[in-house]
Amino acid sequence: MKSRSRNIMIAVFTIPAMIAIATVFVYPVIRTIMMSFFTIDNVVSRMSDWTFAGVSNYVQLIQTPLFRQTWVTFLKIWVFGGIVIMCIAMLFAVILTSGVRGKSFWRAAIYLPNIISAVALANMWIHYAYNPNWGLFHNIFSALGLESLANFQWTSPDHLFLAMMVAYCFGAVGYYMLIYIAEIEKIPQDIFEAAKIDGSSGVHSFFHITLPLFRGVFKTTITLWTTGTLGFYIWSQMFSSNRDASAQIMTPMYYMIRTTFGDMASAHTETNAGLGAAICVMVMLAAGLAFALISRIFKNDEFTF
Amino acid sequence: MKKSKSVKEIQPLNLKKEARLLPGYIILVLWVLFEIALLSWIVGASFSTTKEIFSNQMLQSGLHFENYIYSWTKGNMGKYFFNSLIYAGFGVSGALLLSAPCAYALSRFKFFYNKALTNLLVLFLSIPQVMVVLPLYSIAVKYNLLNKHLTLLVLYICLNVPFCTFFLLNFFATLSRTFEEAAAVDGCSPIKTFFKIMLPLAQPGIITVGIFLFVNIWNEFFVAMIFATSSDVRPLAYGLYSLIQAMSTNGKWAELFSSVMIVVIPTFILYLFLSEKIIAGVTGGGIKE
Amino acid sequence: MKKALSLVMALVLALGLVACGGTGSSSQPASTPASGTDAPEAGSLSGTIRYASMWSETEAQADVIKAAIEDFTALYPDVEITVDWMGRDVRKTIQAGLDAGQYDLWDSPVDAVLPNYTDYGYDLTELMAAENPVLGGKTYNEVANPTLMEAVKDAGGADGVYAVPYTPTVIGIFYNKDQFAEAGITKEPTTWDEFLATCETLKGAGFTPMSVDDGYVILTFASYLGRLKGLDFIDQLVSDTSGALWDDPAVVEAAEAMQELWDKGYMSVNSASNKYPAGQNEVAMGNATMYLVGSYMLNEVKEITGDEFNWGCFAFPAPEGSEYGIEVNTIGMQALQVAKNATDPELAFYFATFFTTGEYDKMMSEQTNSIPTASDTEWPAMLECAKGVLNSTTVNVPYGFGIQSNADFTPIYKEQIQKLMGGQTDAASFLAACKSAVTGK
Repeated sequence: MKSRSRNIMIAVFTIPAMIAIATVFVYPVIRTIMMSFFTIDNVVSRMSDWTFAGVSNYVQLIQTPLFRQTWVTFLKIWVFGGIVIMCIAMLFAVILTSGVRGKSFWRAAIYLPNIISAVALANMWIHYAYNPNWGLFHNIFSALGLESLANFQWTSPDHLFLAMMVAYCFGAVGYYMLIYIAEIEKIPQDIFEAAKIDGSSGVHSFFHITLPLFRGVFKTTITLWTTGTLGFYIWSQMFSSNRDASAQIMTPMYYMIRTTFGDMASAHTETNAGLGAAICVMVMLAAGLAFALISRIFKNDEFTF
Repeated sequence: MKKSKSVKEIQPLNLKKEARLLPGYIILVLWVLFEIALLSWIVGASFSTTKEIFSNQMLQSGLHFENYIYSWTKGNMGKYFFNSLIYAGFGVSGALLLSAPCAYALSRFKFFYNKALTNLLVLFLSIPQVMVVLPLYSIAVKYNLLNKHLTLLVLYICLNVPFCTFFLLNFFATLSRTFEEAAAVDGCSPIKTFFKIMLPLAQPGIITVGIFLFVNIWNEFFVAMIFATSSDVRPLAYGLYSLIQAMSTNGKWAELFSSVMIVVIPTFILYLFLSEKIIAGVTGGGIKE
Repeated sequence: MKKALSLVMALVLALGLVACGGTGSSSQPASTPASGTDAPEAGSLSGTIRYASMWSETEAQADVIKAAIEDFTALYPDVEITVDWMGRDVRKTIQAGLDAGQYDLWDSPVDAVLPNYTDYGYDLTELMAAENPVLGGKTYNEVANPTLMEAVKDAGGADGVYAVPYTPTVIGIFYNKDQFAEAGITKEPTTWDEFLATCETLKGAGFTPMSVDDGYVILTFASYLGRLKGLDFIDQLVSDTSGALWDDPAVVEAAEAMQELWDKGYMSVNSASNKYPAGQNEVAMGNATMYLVGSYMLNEVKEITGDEFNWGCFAFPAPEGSEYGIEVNTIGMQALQVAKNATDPELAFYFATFFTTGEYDKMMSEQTNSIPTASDTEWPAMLECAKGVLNSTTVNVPYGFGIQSNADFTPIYKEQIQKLMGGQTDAASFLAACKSAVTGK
């Protein structure tokens, strides 16, 4: 291959994509980091109007109880939501690869909520599933004779986080299930056959064959989950009221949007876009930290899709 | 839907095997029943009156198709639908056009910034969108680019380039090199080789990632929320949200749910026909029947 | 259909103008300028107006404005009006748009916009006092509602007038009049003790006296405390990081009053878990009697109540020893502002007055079930109940007596107060939680 035409080709093939990436990633990331060290009236203010503020934006944020709480909420979603979703997804993946009939029907049905807009789903959960008088949960538990569960106030401030997570996890399970199914199917069947001949049970072969082979895909799903959780926003917005945010379900991302663009409650407070940028930087640092941790734990594993 | 298909593949009934699978069936049936109960409520609500929705008397006064007419015409859903179609259609094409060649080059050739670019892709893949939104927003305002279809389209394309490239990079890596070697022997230029030979070979991967992106852009909310402040350019998901905001002045909840259905139905039909492809998109093509 | 409607509207308007000209003090037709003023001739207005609207294109308000635009441009063919239907997002982008000089006219709820954007606004004082061609030669001040103009001046916080108000709202306790009658209540309560007695009577008659949901739950405690101690106190209460004010006897009294509502069984059992609009729907469906909210709620629940519902309304009752009596209330409204750097501020102002007065005021009020802007326009029957509260209001205070002025405090407070009113916490824990939210400990 002639090296000149090869170089031209590489340039032609990669430069457009690099320009796209530079426009929407490189420049904005740098500017966001800079913004976080300034006091800025409005997100659109010119750079000449910025006032250098050192790390005061970060200090102010850390001293705000509500902002600290958003990180607790993030961690709760990340850890508890992650465990629940991964476990249920894995359970379904195992069931669906165990030879059940109508596999593609089940698979499609469980994935279905992922194609429906969160705005629609959240309204359905709030106004129907969680209704204290005639909601789905109320009716199911009443029918089972579990009165105390039937009267559980799902959407009261103390339980709102739980309610939101149930709704969110219900949809998200399907996505991770698909990834696990694909991974299980990549495992050569003869390993399982051999295990069966050796007399090991299904449960045994799950723990000793499937799981160890799964390190790569765990790395992938945990990474995806981390990115998803850091961007967790729309469900919080939908589970808050029309007028004000609810503290229990606020995520850092939601806090950032509210700080930068205001909401009905905060409409008449001063805005400082530098604060919003500082939150963005914190979110990115958290992502970096999480990925460092993940690659440490899964040192020798490639990402598997 | 998919049931008819599986019926065709009837295997000899093996009672022992089915009994072993029973717990699995129970879980699946319960989960799906629960899901049907939830989703059919949305369908029911879309045909009811607002009063019926909030007093648990859905569909008591028959089917209210006028909710749908209202949503489509007065509720602007027709306009949002068209917008979403533009964004998803052109967005996917654009992202693929930028990503596929880049992915190919990265997967096949060694050059001085190959490693750096690949790492950068992974880095940007993991950067939350929120990180880039504020400066982009200020650029858009500065150059009067808010509320333009093209602005949103360009954003949807560019923001998806890292994912798209990374996905196709892995896909090209699985293709055998023998084709290119043969082409090179025949004196075919690398660019020609790519378009004539490699691109057709990569078709399954391209279709897969394309459908996945399509669904993502179709349901996109966040970017639209920031950049589409006027109803003329809003896509469906955000249009739906602005309808909810309007609920606080007109209380037309039934019409909200019929709007929801207008968003869901096309996606659902697409899903019925393409669920295998969509699912493959999530899992990088590694799916078997 | 739309065309036909706008034709009819144009006709009605034309007739209205003629009628105006005929009955006005001036014997000249409306289109002729009065001598000695520099107001432009009616047929000669020209230019463009770029309007950033707080309404979504799908809302009834937008229909009225569209009809108004059609007529305005029919009357003045040289005027071109473009609208960006931004919905409530307008506050998100308006500043950027104004900096860039993209808009001549914009609107938003009065307390959300005026205080922040006075700098961008055009001082309308002179224009309002001058003869206005679209008002048949009258001045705007002649037709304006004085209560609303006071509120606009207050909210602007500067000398001069920076907005044209429209679609006012008033916050009060809205109730089911039929249930009041059935329980034998004839007099609306004006003090807190009377209010408690009312609740007791309602409860005795088998009704659920009150409901809340997370939409407007912040109002009750804030109104109680606001009446007792006033605006400045609340402002300090939520912003003072020492948290000392949370031990104030008045604050304790307010919190205990809220707990009492629950303890005595006056609140709906769903109060803690009600998500907007569940609370107001309870009242609309007859499952609860009273709800503290703005007058816009009546239109929100109209799909449920129909037109026949018998609404009543009274101002939030005053606790004993109140600093503010029941004549202090929150009057909200939308405010139209003309941009300082507008291409033609006069034209934008004329259009603003055009669609907020006369025929369009009436049309807006009928089609959106809102209180009319002008004092002489007939009220929609449903809203008649709020007339007493609006007209008796002499001092206007911000929403929730300003309890939301600390954005980092509101989400925590909102949850705590809903728990308190829904019986999930007690006054002492409520106070402790709020205190720690402002002090950061």
